[in-house]
Amino acid sequence: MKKRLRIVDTTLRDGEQRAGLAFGTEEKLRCALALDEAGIDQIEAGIPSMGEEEQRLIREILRRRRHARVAAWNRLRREDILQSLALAPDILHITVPASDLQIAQKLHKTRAFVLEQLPACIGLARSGGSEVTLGLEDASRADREFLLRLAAAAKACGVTRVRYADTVGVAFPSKIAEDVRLLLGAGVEVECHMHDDLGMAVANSLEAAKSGALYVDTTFAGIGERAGNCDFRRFLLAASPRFSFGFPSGEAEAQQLEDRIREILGI
Amino acid sequence: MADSIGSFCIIDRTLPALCAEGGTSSELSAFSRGLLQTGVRRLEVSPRQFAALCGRLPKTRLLVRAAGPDEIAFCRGLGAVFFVVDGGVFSSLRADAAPDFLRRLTVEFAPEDAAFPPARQAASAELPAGLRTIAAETEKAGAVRLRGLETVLEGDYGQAFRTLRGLFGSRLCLDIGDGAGCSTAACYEWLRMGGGSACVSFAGVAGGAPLEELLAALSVLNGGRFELSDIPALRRHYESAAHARLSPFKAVSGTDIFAFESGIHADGIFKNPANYEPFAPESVGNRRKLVIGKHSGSAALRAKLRELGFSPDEALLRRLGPLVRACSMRQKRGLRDDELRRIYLGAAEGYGANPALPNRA
Repeated sequence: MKKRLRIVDTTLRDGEQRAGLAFGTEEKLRCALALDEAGIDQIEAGIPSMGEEEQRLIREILRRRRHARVAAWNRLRREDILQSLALAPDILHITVPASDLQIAQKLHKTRAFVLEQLPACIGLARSGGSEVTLGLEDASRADREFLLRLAAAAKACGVTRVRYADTVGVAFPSKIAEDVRLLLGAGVEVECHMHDDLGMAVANSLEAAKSGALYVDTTFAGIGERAGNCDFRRFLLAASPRFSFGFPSGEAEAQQLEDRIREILGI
Repeated sequence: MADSIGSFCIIDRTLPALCAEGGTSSELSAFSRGLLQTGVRRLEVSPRQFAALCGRLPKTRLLVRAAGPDEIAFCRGLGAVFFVVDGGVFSSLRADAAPDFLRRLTVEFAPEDAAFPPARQAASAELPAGLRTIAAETEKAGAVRLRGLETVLEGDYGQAFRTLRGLFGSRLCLDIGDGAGCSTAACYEWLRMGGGSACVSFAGVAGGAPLEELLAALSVLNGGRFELSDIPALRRHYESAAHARLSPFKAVSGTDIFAFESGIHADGIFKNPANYEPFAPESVGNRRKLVIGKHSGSAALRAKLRELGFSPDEALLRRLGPLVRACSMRQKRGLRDDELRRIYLGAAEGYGANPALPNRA
């Protein structure tokens, strides 16, 4: 029997971050409802800290969706989390820089600081009743020991799923296999989020799934930062011989859904 | 960075796929030179292309795809050294061919190849049956090329590659198809695991791994010495020959892959581009481009306005943010410089600042 994978669609969040893209609120709502209708497991609806319009959209998606779980994306910041809490999403996702490069160069902080922030931020996030997932940003360039420490710290705070993010698209399958197994060893579920800078996002996502990841992040038409994210349709094509999904995942169905989303978003 | 990889070679198959007909000799020559400059070992060419190029490029860098003995003879007459033929042609040649010629010959098999002893692919992720037979029968050939294996990453590719290396040693070249969207990764893992050779083509036009992706991966991940700064010229050649534009977001070779907008990314790039760039844009002949739009934060706005000669204070930047966002959403795209300038001047005037004074260096 094929193992069941869950698709986390991040077209409306990471996808829209492709430079120059600007979806209207109405289009984003229609897109979310189309994904919900199609049976997509999880929709990463947006970033509440972007403002009231984004918050209104997420609220409306939550009100009208029937099946999909809806996630809100946050930085490791109290202010972000408070804005998400006000919306009561199904999932409150918190992203934390995991590589020494990003911790030092982006945050101007240390590993110790990042670890210290986790309990308070995760605790706050969980206070509203949402499931909390932790994103390990730039995981593919992070020290493996530190990845494990982050996963363990998250688990200690009640997080059951971490997202392995190949933020700059430099991972390759055999590395993904090792890293995913490492994180699974910490006792958490793994979600993978791959960028396509070297053309390996689909392959890396497939390898993550083969290695035990249960959730795979995709975008339609592979849109996203730089060369984009793991493309939904191409991933289904690669993964369907071995994995099942909670929705019709044949080539024709995937193409049909892609065509519909492209038409709604004008991409 | 991953471990360094042992010696290997890359064979480019762009030209037969892209330039079968038409194009001037000088265009073909320029494109060929550009491809060779990336660091690939040889270019696969048709007999016609060899005839056009043999006076302009080192013959030892050209690998002629010959359909039969006549084409081989014709090209040898022009000085061709290296050939690739399919299994059927090889079986008709090998009895009489000189050892020297065989040593420079690549014999190619595809899963559907029935011309040689059984080479059918038994199942999607399995290796072609009859590989042992192929290995034995082609023992004297310089190289063997296996085409297909599109779904090798579905299964235990490590075992598959080890088996192949065990049978063929360093003589084996893989031309992994991109039907499953995994050819670059599969070729990369093949070389990483000691594979001798892999085929590529620019933008994957021949149906396998894109040249720019595999070479960039080998450069970024393993310190490989490949020269990709002339990708823009290769892209222009490709688009001219293909009569089609490459996606601006194509991995490695897209024109807009270093455009950035979102506030968090822009902030990270301003602090250190390595935060959000896998490799320097210049290494692939590109440059970073700041786009102002719906997702722009104050850091990006400030940077862009400085580019345009303005120095808004924090309060003015806060006013600008919603105006920029609204305009971007109305247009459903990022803002042009003149649009941003107009919004800024309008906001600054309303704010009471003197918009006409650019910042003085």
